Amino acid sequence: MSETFEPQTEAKRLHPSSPLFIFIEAVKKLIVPLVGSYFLGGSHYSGEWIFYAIAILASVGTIIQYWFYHYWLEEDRIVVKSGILFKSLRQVPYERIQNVNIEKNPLHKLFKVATLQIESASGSKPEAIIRVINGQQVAEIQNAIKHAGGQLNTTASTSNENEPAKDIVNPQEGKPLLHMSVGDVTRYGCIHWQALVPLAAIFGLAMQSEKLQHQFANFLLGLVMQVKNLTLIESKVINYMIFALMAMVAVWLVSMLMAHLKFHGFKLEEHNKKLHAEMGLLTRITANIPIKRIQLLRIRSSVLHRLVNRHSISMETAGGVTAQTGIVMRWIAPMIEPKHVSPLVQTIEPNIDLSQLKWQALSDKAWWRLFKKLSALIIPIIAILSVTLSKTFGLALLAFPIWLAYAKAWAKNAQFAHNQHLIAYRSGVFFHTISVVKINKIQTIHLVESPFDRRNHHGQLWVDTAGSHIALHHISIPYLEKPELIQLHQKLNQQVSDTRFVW
Amino acid sequence: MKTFPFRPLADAYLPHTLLITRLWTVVFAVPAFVLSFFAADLPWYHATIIALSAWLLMAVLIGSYNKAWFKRYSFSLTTEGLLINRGVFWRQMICLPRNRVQHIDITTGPLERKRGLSQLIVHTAGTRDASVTLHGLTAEDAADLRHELIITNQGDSV
Repeated sequence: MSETFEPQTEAKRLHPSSPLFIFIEAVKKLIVPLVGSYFLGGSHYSGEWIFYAIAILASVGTIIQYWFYHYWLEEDRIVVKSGILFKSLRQVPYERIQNVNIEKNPLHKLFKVATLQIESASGSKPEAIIRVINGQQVAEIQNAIKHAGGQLNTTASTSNENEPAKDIVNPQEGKPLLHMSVGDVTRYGCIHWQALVPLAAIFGLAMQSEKLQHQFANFLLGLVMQVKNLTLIESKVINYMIFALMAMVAVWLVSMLMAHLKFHGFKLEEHNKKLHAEMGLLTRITANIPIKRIQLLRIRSSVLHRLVNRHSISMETAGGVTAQTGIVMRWIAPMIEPKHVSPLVQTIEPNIDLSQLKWQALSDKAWWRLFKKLSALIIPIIAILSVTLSKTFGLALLAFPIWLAYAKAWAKNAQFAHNQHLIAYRSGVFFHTISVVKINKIQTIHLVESPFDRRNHHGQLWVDTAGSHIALHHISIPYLEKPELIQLHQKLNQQVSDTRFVW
Repeated sequence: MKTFPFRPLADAYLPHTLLITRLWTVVFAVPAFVLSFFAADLPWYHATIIALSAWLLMAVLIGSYNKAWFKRYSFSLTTEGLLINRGVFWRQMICLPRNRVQHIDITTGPLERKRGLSQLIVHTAGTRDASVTLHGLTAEDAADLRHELIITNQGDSV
């Protein structure tokens, strides 16, 4: 392939500071685990030469990478050539580019450069990561893509009558669709407890070292030393309580800090049928997603969301890039007031009007079936516990009103809606979620009957979309009455085959 | 646009699956022999009988499941797309609209080739249904179906 490519334009190079950034990236991936094991391992390595060797190799490697990295902005495509031993030449047509993410951290700002990540629809990795180029080059690339995208949009709107052509200038255009306030970012941090896992990991690692363990025990002891006349058990209980409280406050504070690092000044705009999001306190990330790429919209309001009176809106796009391989943009609104949800969704997708949806309930027997299912799950556990451990566990059976109430609440909340543009499903008691899929994004439709379904003349309907997360809430509607289900299935089938799927 | 109502799989497919079941259920005979000969210290002829009956039992059980599965399996082509009905305990109807087909593979194994059978694998842009397999078609049927699905799809997307 490299033989056939003849550049029409001048080759562009990375910024001279990029070896530094490539080096830092390599350090992040390679050396952090090594250093971690070095400091926490307790015993010592025979020498530090390993680190020097890796550092030297990595720095030589980065300079080579920098030296052999070129890209071209051709008329219709971007071409990226890199590598010396493993040469790669990648050509990505502008109109295939789905997403351009820009990362700017304080170091980038110092050199006035940015890292660019280019994504297309396929693959689990970004098509190209350009690390790093200066602001003018970023603007050039964006301009080239925007230009091609504009042409594509005009052709698409004539051939696709399902999407109303938005020739009229949107009054919202130019003005941000959403701007998260400092309060909202703090709220996000409060209810998302993102710091829990990393802090627990750090704590667990720290406790591996005996010296730290002793210090920590003494510190806990010291807290209640001043208070006299306590029995050993009392002081222990107080110790643990104080520790739990401190841990909670720490997790909370760090979570808020993490939320601000990630989302500070979150701004969502719409330009030329593309969503443009900007976020981050120190590291500023800019992401662009064409609206037609949204496969599924998910609106969440968990118990915690309700406490702070906010919802969140996220989306699924078809690209396979994960958080490990690149920057992922899945938020439309990490925190939004409930009354703004419907207008925002409608601005983005004019055909999705959440306020006008006619929600339909599942079968009347849904709660009873869920109750039986929960019982079949819980009763054996109680039985095993009461036989093996203590008979008093049998008393737990008296708690059945709890799961009965849960089943009732679940069945009351679970509803679906269907009209000419979309199918939506909402469910959940503690984590209330609505998933919305537009008809033209449906790939296949499944109608499933379990043996239990057949006995009750029920069935389940689920639809498959591109790039969906199986573990997360999706359109999978259980406990539907058979006649209703068959009707819905036929209608959907008809609708889906009448619309064309556009990537 | 060609359509046909629900039809069963090719008759030759049932003997094919039964043969395969008989072959792989041999794995049940091995632990049965090991347990009865080495662990329970039975004489070798008893152990052999036990192992063979374990194989026979599993072959009959799984074979009858196969028969039920084969009986339940049907597919049809409508103007909207391909419909597949399958499953013994958990029954499902998969609906694959013509215009959602990305590409189609036909695979034929050595044993299938002897009986003139093929599998049709339809790929979509979905996640769990990234590929939907239609088992046990005759080779001509598979080729026809592929042709039909691809032709109509192209007409639609232009």
